[in-house]
Parts: sequence; C-alpha cells; structure tokens
Amino acid sequence: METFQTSNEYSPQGPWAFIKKSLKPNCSREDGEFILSWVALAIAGAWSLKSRWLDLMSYSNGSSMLAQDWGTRLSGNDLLYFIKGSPRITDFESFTGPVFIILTLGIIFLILRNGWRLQAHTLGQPANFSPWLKGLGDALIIGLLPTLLLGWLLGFLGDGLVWVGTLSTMWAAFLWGILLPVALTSFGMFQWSICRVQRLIEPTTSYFQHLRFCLNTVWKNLGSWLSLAMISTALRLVLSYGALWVTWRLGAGTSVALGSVILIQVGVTLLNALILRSLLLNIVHFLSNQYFVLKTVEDLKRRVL
Amino acid sequence: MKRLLTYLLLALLSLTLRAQVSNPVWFKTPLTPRLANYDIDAYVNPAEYVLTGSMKLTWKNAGTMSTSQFPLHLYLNAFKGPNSIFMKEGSGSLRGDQMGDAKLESSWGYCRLLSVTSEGNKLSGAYGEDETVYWINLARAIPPGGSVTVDIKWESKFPRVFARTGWAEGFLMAAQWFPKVGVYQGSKWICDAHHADTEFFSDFGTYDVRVNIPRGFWLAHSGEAISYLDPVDGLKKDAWPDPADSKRMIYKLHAEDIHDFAFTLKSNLDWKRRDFTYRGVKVSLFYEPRNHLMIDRHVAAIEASLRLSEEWYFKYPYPVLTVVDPPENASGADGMEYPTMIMAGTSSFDPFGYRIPEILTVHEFGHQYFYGILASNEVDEPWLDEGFTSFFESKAIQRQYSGIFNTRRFQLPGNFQSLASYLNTPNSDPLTRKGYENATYGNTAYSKPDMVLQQLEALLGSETMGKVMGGYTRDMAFKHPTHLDFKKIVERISGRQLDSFWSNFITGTGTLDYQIERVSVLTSREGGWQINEPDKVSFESIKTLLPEGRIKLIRVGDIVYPITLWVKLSTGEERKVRWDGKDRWVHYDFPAPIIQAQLDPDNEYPMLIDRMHASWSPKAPATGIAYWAHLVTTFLTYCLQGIGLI
Repeated sequence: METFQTSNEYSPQGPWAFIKKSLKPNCSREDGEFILSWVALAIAGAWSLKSRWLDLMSYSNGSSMLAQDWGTRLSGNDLLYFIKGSPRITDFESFTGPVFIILTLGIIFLILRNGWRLQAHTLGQPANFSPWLKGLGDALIIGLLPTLLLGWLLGFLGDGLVWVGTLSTMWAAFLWGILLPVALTSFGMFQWSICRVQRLIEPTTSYFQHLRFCLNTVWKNLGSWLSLAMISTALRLVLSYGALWVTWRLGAGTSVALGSVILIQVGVTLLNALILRSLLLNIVHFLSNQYFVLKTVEDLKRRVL
Repeated sequence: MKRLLTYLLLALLSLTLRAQVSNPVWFKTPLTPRLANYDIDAYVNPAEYVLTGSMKLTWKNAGTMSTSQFPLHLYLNAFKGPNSIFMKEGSGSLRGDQMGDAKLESSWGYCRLLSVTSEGNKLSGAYGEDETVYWINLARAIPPGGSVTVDIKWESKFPRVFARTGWAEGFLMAAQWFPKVGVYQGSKWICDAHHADTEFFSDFGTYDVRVNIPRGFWLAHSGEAISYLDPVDGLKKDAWPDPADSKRMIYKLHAEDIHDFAFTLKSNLDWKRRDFTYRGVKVSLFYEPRNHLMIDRHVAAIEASLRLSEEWYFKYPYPVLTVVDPPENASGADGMEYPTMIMAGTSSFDPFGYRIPEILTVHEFGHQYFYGILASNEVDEPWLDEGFTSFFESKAIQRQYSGIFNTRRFQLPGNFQSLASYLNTPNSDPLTRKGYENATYGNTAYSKPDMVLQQLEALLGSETMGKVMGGYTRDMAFKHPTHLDFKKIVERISGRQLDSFWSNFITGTGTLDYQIERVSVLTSREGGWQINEPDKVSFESIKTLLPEGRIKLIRVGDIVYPITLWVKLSTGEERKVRWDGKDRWVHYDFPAPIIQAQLDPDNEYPMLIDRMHASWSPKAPATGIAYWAHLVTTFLTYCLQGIGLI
C-alpha cells in the first residue's frame, strides 16, 4: 500500500531521478528551435568561414590554387603562404571575417535564449529576460568562488596523477585536465539554470531566501549535480571527438567524402543538442518537484498547526 | 696511536689502490694546433653559487705578429650590473627568459680576477669595451710561434639563470665560468664584449679540469671523466674523494681539441641518468625524473643525429657526448651547446607527438659541428653556426620524423619554423652582418640562412649540395671558417660561379617574389576589307576566331632569377615556359584559354615568398577549404556543447 511516506511524488528527489522523464521526446516548437539553433551554429559558421577563405583566395578574376590538396592534406607551410599572401589578413577578425563572428555570436545568443524559452514553456510561463539575466548574476554570486575552489581541489587529482608518472597516469591526467574544466563550466551552467528557473517558479520570495534556496539546491546535492555534469560532459566529449576522429580519417578528397563529413558532424551536433535539451528539462523537473514537496509540507504544517 | 697509524696506513693503501683506469688521451695526433690550453682547478660552493678557481693557461701565438697584450673574456661580468653591454642590449631577458628579481643580489653575478702572473711577474691590465673583456699587459712580447703560460686565480659568482649560465634552486649551470683568452688572427686580437644576442669565439686546445664539489651532487660536463676503481667496492667511479674534505669530491676531467668547457650539477637524489654507447660514442643523458617518459625520444634523437651527421658530414670525432635536460625552473639553461655537451629540454608528457624535444636535441647536437668543430666567429657571423645548424635540424627532422608534426591531414614540415620566421621579415638584414647589429637576430641568424641553404640545395641539386656540405665540414673542421671559405668550397665543388647568388641571398636583402597578375581570354576576329593587289579589293565578313589565353606575370621582388610557368589550357594541353625575370613584367599568349597556371611548379625556389599569387585557376578549389571550415566550426560547436552551453 502506498503511503505518504513511500510515495515518490511527495519525497524530494535528486537530479538523477528526472533523467528518464527529461529524455522523453517532445515535438514542441521550443524543442525544435533549441535543437535547430545548434545545427545552425555548425552549418552557418562553416558556411561563413568557407566563404571568407574562398574570398581571401580569390584574385584576378579567379583564385589561387593553393588549397587544391587541402581536402586530403594541409601543410603548415601552405597556411603560412595563405596568411602572409593575403594582405587583407591582418588579425583574427580579418582571418575569419566579420560575418563569421557576428553570426556565431548571434547564434550562441539564440541557443541560450531558446534554451530559456524551452524551460519557460515547460513550466507554462513566458520566457522573460529579467529572470534569465538576474539568474546569471545569482549564479555568479553563489557559484563562482565555490566552483573555482572545487576546481582547484579536484585539480590536485590531476597533479597527483602527473607525479605518479606512468604512461597511463599521464594520459589519465591529460584527459582529466580536459574533462575537469569543461565539466565544471557545465556545472556552472547548471547553477545559472537553477537560479533562473527558481526565479520563475517562485518569483515572490525574498532575494536572500532565493539565493539561500539556490545555494542549498546546488551544494546539498553536490555529488549528484557534479556527477551529472561530469558524466553528461564526458558523453558529449566522447561523441564530439569521436566524430572529429572519424571525419579526420575520412578527409574530403571528393565531394561525397565532404558530404559524409558534414552529415556526421551535423548528426553529432544534433545528438549533443538532445543531451543538452534533456539537461535543461531535468533542472525544470527537479525544481518543480522540490517546489511541490515544499509546498505540500508547508500545507501539511499549516493544517496540523 | 697504534690505531691512528693503522688508519693512516689504510688511507695510504686506499690512495695507492685507487688507480686511475681511464686513459685521458683522445687523439694521438692532435686535430688542431691547440693554441689555448687550460689546466684548471675549480672549487664550487653551490650554496653560495660561487666558484673559486686557479688555472694555468698556455697560449701559443699562431698570428703573424708579436703581441704583448693578452685579452681575457670575463663573460660573467655581463651579469655584474645593469650597465654591461649585455644588459643594456637585452634589457635583462634572453630567448624569452627573464632575469631574476633585479633587487636581489643573488640575481647578479660576476667574474673577479684575484691574481694574474706569468713567469714570476705579476701582470696588470685594464677593462675593454666593458667589464666582460680584460686586456692584460704581458711582461714580454710573444713572437709568432712562441708561447706563454699565464697563471690566473679568480672568483666567479653565478647569476640566477636566464641567459645560459647561472643557478636555480638545487641546480647550477656553469657556462662561461672561467677567464678565456681571445683569438689572435694575423696581427689582431678578436675578443668582443659579451653581447645580448651573440655567442662566443675561441681557439681550440686541451682542457684538464678538476672540479671540486660537495658530495651528493652529480656533475654533467664537457669532456671525459678520469675514473678509478674503488678498492672498497670494486666499482669504477668518476668522483674522486677530496683528501682535504671528506664531505667533498673531485671530478677530474679531460678533453682535447675543443674550445670551451661547461658543466652542470644537481642533487643526485632528484636527477636521473642514462648511459649508452652509440657508434662508439659514450652518451650520458641526465634528466628530470618526471620527464622519464620522454627519454626514449631523446635517445632516438641523439642516435639519429649521430647517424645523420656521420652520413652527411663525417663521424663525430669525440669519444663522449653529454646531454642534459635541465629542470623546469632553469629553462634559461636549456637549448644551448658546449663542446661535447648539449643542453636539451623537454616536457614530461606529449600526447600530440609534437617534435619539440627532438628539435631541441637535434639542433643542439648540430652545433657540435657548426660551432664545436667548425668554430666560426659567432659574434661576427652568427649565421655560420645557427643557420647551418638550423639547416641540419630541418633536414634531420624531415628525414627522421617526416616533419615537426605529422598527422594524416595536417603536417608541419621540418623547415616550418624557419619559413614562418623568414616570411615575417623576408627583407631583413644581410646574413653577413654582425650579430649584435642585426635588427632581427632570430631571422638573420637562424631562419633566413636555413632557407638560403635550402635555396642553394634547390639550385645545385641534392647530390651536389650533399657533396658541398660534406666538403665544407671536412675542409673547415677544427678551423675558424668564414662565409668566404664556404663560398670558395661551394664554387669548387659545384663548378659554378655564385657571385650573384651571394649578392642576392647572403650579402643582399632582396626577396624572390613572382606573381601571376592577370589571366585573361583574348577574343580575336578576322575579316574586313582585303586589299591583296592594288586593283583587287574585297570584303570578307567579320569572323570571331577561337578564343586564346593570355597570362601576365610580374616580378615583385628585387632578386632576378629565371622562373618556370606551367599552364593547362582548356584543350587539356599542358605547357611550360621559362621567363628570365629580367623585366618587371611579361605576358604570354596561348592558343586556348588558360584553366590553370602555376609558377615554380617544380619547387626550384624554396625562398619564393608568395605562393598564394603564384598559382591561378578560374574557380577556387573549394572542397578542401570547406572541409577545414567545417572542422574548425564543428570543433568550436563541440567545445560549446562540451561546456554545456544552455
């Protein structure tokens, strides 16, 4: 017999408890926009970069042939000739082109905005700018220093591995050196997400209480959030670098090979976007559950007293 | 009393039994005239970073005139204070390393002469350009062929290491640590002050050096240690006990036909050593324990260097080679060469296979020839040691490792660093300019000469260039070559007159720069009034002929060399034409439109500075560009997805 005490619905649960629910597909407009904005970043960025480099190669009603073997092999010396031979390349911006930079920054903003819209839509609320931006400030206040401290402590693990000095520990230290900062940044993103969603769920609470709640939410479930960040980051990195490895091996000697490269890269971008979407929803489900349980307990207390 | 006598007897017995086992004679017939010979006793106090020394310096006059002057390099005075030429020119930094805290006295160093005597006379003298050169007045003039022995006592205090020599915590690099006599050529002493960018110049001789250091340290050094069999444990040992102090030991070192001597010491508890013999050379490799994963790579690089130098020049003549990987806090000591000793450098782990440790090891080994054996003046013509060594390095890295970085899709060729530096300032100073007068020392001493030698190889062909380098190194071994010696040898071996090459690439500052300026399609027509004979006039209708192709080439640089143009026509036909390059521009017409064109298709000119505009096609080859654009963008996308941008 299910009682109040045994029902999951009435007990606060950790972030991992909502993964299954968050992974459920949904065909809302917000879902689609979030995922497509990631794909747009990969495609539009490459398109603008390619256009810029083709433009830099062009001269005299034609173009240099310098890049004719680049699909199969690129020599560092060719890059030097390209950079030195193009008087229009004077700095990083002129190398990538302003379109690439504007487009990339614009789409990154779109990704963040669409992520927020997805969370707000799940809660059935409008995606206002205010909680989104204020949440970022909250996350910096409660999370920046502790996260840096955590990174510093965990960094010792990598240093320890270096000092053991075997080939396997060196590799482990190297991979840890990549995973740790990336996963900690992801952990920081969680904190921003928690702060903004909490502002949406409970907008009337005092600022101090809001910060305290967010701080408790993160640091009381540190193991869960950190493991979620680590594991999901590792998964994304494995997918990403796996795709890079495959496309590196494939090369682009022909148009078909180039097409395959693009397909693989877009496919993995899509998969990673789905993982990120589930993380966004996971935070919403987690906080909704917390809110529900707290409200239920408060109601009970009020009834008893 | 009895016990004391027994101890004394045992001590005497142990000394007599401590028989020397290694033979210090390297060459039965000297390889050089041995003009500057040093017999040195050095007492090192690593706690104070101070060395006190006494030496007998025997010098022979190989000049054409008598001399009563005797200049000594006191290189460590470069670090005496902020007013030395070295400090003024370099502003307290060298090769990216910054001097220690200038407020601390331990950051500075000096070389102080305590006494200078000869043949019973106390000698006096005066400083030269700055305090890094001291001119001694001899009591008598030394005639050509004559010799003199000068007894010198001195004290050296080492600075914190940032410019090759000095100390770091637990480590001492003793380079340029003793007073060293200049080089007397003809009737002129060459004894330059210590400049920031340039290095050294001295005469060959023998070195017998006894270094007294505290126990618990390891000494890595130039030359060979005279070893003994320890009567207690029967082991062969290099460190002799100091009879005057049981806490100290003495290394007795010997070398022949070298022109400098360096050593380094570090606690033997946190230093590792690997000894091996390759092609008859005893190699001792000292390294940091944490870098042990990289040591096999060092060993492979040393072996490759010994093998390739023997193949290209001649066998490394000395019986020993010491390779030191200095600690991380002494990076100012790495990447440096001394006779029979090189300072390498590495990281503890390299997941990408980037050949930096190999480059450093191969480069510093190359200096065993271009500096160590071909002892050119590094102040006046730094390109003869650094440039030739860079050429050796580029070729050896390409040959042994197929480049600095070699992956399936992306490669950095062996000459990548030289090309990058050269393309930055292609019209920099002539190679023959003095090192300290160079505006771009790195390019003029290292990179441009490497490119010039590659250019010479492309011009002469690999086989002839091989003979040239072999001939030059053999003819000029154990001498002081200049660029004119090199020119004579190149011309003799190649049978070509190279004045224009010299004036263009070595003493000149021009660049080799040709471009395709314009490719166009010519549409020509025929017809119109035909007047064949005065009384016969007819009109033929205007007809458009098949289109033709035209290409205009320009010479942008000042260097004039004939260059080949390859074109592919719309008919599929390929043609090559040779332009002498004498005019500033030329155009060539072809019977069909041009669909591809390339200048220097056979890579005759490694020094051609613009290959972007040296090829042309009507449409850009977009596949490769698209591939790299996608790789870069998806890498960025994956990084953002990695950090969980949500």
